Amino acid sequence: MVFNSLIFVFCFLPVSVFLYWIVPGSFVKNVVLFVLSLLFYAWNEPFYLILLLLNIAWNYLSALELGQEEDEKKRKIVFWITIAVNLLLLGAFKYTNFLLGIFGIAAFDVSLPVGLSFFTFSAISYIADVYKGTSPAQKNPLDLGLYIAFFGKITSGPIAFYHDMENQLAYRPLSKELFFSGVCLFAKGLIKKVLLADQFALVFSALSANTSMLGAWIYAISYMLEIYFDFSGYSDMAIGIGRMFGFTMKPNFDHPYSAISVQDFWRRWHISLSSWFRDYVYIPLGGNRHDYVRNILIVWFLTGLWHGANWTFILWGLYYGGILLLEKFVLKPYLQTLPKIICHLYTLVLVLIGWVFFFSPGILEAFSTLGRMINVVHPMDSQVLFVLFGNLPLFILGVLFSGTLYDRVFHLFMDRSPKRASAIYTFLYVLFFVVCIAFMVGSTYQSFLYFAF
Amino acid sequence: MNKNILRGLKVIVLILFVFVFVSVYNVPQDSTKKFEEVLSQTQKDLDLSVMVQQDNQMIRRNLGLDPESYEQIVYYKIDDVMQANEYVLVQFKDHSQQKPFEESIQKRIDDQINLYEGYAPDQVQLLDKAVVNVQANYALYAVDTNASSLEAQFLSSL
Repeated sequence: MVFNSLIFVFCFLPVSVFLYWIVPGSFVKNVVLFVLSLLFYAWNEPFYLILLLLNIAWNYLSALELGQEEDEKKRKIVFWITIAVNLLLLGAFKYTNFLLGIFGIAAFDVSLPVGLSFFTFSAISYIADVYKGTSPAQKNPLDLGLYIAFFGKITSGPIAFYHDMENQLAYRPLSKELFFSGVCLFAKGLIKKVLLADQFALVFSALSANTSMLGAWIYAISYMLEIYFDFSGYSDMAIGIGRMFGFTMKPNFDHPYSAISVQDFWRRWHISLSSWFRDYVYIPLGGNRHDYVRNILIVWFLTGLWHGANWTFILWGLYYGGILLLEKFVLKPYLQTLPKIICHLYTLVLVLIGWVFFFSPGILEAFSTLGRMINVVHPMDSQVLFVLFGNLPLFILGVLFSGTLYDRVFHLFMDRSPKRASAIYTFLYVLFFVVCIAFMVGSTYQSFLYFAF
Repeated sequence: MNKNILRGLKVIVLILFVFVFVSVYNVPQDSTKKFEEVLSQTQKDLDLSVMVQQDNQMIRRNLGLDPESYEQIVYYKIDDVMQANEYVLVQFKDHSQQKPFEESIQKRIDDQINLYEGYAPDQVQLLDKAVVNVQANYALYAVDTNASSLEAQFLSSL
């Protein structure tokens, strides 16, 4: 089941909210939410529910053992075995065919369990927090199960850290304000997904075979905007759903396309994943205290690999590792003195090149697209002009809404006249929500891009 | 909970992990054999002389499949409207094509049964025993007295 399906919006979510709000007590509420989360997960592929339950059981038991063990050497062994099993599981399902392909062995007809990368990282966050002593081992398997399997975040995150969620698992006060802010955020995410991301997906698809220079640029830019509205829309919906059930999760995006350096971009894009790698890989490796270059390259190699079993993702990760090193050792003084607009353009172009590696099925195709982007011999054709002018309002909206304009206008109105602004925004959300539903009824929905990871 | 009990439970969970992994990976692998090789091995020593290879238009019309979307596809059909004998061998471009292929073939079988029901019970019987076998990147559909032999040779050809 996906968030942008009619069955989720009009059946699963309202029924879940209703059941959750009417049952008494934190324990019963958690039971209801856990059962609903298992149902949500099992909706399309019930078999993998076993894998999820085993993952919860494995990490629950391991953390209890870590909590009981006093000998530091033994704790270390238990910790590393637990991490190894989590990673083996991830590797077995996500990377087996990739590894077989390297050795020329035929692939297996196996589908990737939805959300595997996300719930494995959540589980590792829990085990690492218990090992470091940041959090005690969870005695209640239901609470741990809810942390890993909560349907608001299991399919594509955000990868909420265990120490951030720990207290909320035991007790979450319900408030109307939090609930309605969750509903608004969910609607905002749905609007981003259906009215923007899915429309950019159509432009991206229409220009896939275009060979002109302008066509290649519009093709790449449409993906750049699609993935932003797709994933930030999903994250808004996930965080919004969390709020409806009393959870508060940190934002996953902070206007990444308004960044003025690549380092700045990664502080704003998929924040939960960057933070996870920083806290659980980069800092334990030594951070910037020693072997900085090695640590950065390891982290970015792993970030690329995490996104998928394909050389293009690995290259994409190393590309960012290389740029971050370049910024640190060479470009930093220039970026600090250059006008912001130049820094902004520099960031956008480098990020755009990164997306070309990301969306291309192979490295050759990526370089072919990059080649088309500098193909001055064939600057444009009628198809690209038709697509561009036909979708001009979409591109204008995309550029405006991917920046900080929307939030700035919202805060300006809210500061001046909160009541009036609330009424106007509520009306707009309802209006665009209805338009979204019309789009969802009228066409087959597009799955979220990050489901593939 | 006692440490030994914890460890015992963890061993059980690990065994269950292995069980899940084996169950998931106990599926056919993509065949690296060439399409022509699979086709000739599948047809080997069988009398299929009455079957005529059909063109792309017939694949679209009779089976509701787009031949361009597959790596390769062949469709043979008996040149007699009173008989339902036919077979299809397909090589998929990717595994997502398996399910739509099976659905189209099932629809074809149902349509054929509706067509022959009432006046050709022997053909309905043949259609009831139709073979639809999907093996990773290859699939076979056969309605023929030789269907089981075709299936056996198809499996050994991969």
